[in-house]
Amino acid sequence: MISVTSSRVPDTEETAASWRMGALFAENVLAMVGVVLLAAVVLFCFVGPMFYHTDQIHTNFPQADLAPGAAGHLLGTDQSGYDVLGRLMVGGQTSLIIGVCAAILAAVVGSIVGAFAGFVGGALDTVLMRLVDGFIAIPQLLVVIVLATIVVPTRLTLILVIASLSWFTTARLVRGEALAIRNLEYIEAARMVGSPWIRTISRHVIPNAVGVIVVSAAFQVADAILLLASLDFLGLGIPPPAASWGGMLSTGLQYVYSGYWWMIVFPGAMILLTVMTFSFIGDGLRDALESRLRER
Amino acid sequence: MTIFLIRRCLHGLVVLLIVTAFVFSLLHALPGGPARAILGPKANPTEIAAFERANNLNKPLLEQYFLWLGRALHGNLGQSYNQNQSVASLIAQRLPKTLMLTVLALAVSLIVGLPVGMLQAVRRNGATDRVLSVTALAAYSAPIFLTGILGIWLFAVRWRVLPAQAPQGTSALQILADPKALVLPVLCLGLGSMAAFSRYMRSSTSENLVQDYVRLARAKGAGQARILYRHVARNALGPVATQVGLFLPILFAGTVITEAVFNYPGMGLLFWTAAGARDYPTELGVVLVVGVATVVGSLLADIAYGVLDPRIRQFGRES
Repeated sequence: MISVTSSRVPDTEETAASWRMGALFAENVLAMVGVVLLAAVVLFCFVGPMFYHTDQIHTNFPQADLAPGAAGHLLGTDQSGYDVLGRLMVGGQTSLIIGVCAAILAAVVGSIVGAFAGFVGGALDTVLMRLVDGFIAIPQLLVVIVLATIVVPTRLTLILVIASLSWFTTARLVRGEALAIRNLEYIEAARMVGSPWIRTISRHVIPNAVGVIVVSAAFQVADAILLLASLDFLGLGIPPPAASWGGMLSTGLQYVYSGYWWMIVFPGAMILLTVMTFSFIGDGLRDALESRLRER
Repeated sequence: MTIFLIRRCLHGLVVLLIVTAFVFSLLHALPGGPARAILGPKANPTEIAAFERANNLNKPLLEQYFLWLGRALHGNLGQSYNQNQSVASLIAQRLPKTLMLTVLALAVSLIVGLPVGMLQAVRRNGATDRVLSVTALAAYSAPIFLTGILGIWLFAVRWRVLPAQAPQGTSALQILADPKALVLPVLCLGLGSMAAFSRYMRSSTSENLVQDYVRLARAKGAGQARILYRHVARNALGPVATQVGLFLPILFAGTVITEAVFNYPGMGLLFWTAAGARDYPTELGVVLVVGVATVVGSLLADIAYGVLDPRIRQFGRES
């Protein structure tokens, strides 16, 4: 009896393969650097404020524009008197939450659309993929800006706006995976014994594409954080006094002629560091996935 | 070839219809709908009702879409809220300047990125390769507004060697007349794709360097330079060329930020100011133009590859 009702046999293979993938990932030095850096950034943003108390709501003009090292302000203060170090922590929370949530949402939507298109095929596939072609043709940043001017910017709306424009690549990739396995024997067998296709998609097609989905999600977090920073920089993010790295840069730009370098260098470094972190992790996962595929 | 052309054009046409339908639905997603969008925030309900009757906005959506598409095809993209000018004329004034910025950035990123990638492949895993790889990754991850601000701070404020503002002028020629002021905007816009091209060229060259034809050329006594430029470069460029088309939309989107940072008087700055002023007709007009340009660009690129490479004609680009 071919393993249809009990998906145990492919399952254990899957588990072993994912273990191998994990080992390969750990071997990749840059990827490990990425994981460590990510942990550091998360601790900095979420645990940091518990130990380093700053007021990021009320302006404090007598303490404005202080250079790094001034009493009580390790990284200086900005034009409103906010402590830069504390603001980096609080601003990072928004970036990470929105970036990760938008990437996960996009990965989920993209996987479902891609799996259905590839597995069901036919007219549904054509329609969905032409839609994806059309959406991809319009640069994401432009549409995000238009949508951001229509909605009221909050964490939730920004997650929805960014996610709604980020699922296309995942959909394409997962569709490719679904196309590749839809004619394999165990899928045919599942179909033959009358497994409903929703079940086949959720039990076989999507688990098979998990590697691809995770890799593209890692890169998507980086993209989402960049996109959000661009919106903040253009003044279309969550408005002040809410803190954001992009917003800090955009105020910093106004003071660049006064030589207040700390207002641009620190938030810039945080954006760069976080984005590179997710790229490292994505690269490492991709290398691991590719060598796993080669082993097959 | 004819079948390939027809198939590819039909596909492009379908995608174009989707792009326009998408912009059309955005127009309807605007607060207050298209009537409010065109008449402006001060219109009263009577005016809106009259406008909707006069402009067929009370008809079924599908019919409205084709009417709107017909107007857009005639170059009628509506009137800007706050510039007292039609959107089409605003875009026509600024598009050439943005195209020039994009083309310059693309040229610079290819001129720098490709040789760097080849160098890395030759020195694969050596110190030069590693340093350049990390630099490229940083450059690729750095958002344009960050490199732009850092560029202004270092080159314009601290060292005072380059102006902080892009050249100003009403035509592309006037802008070209001030090349010094173009350096920072072009470099900032091109930096990311420069890094990407160096990556593609590195892997493409490395793959070619281990091929039999390279060993044969070496066996025949060809020098390293000849092997690289006469043999490897030509073969390695193919896969990279297919990527160039994909970078046009990315560069085009990048102009929004670049132009905002450097106050470059192009379509990106127009789009950004329109977004700030909630000037929806202008915003959507730019999105439409960019979307159409992207689709047409990728269509032309595909046809060009098809002409260059018979395999693509047969099997399409994906395979």
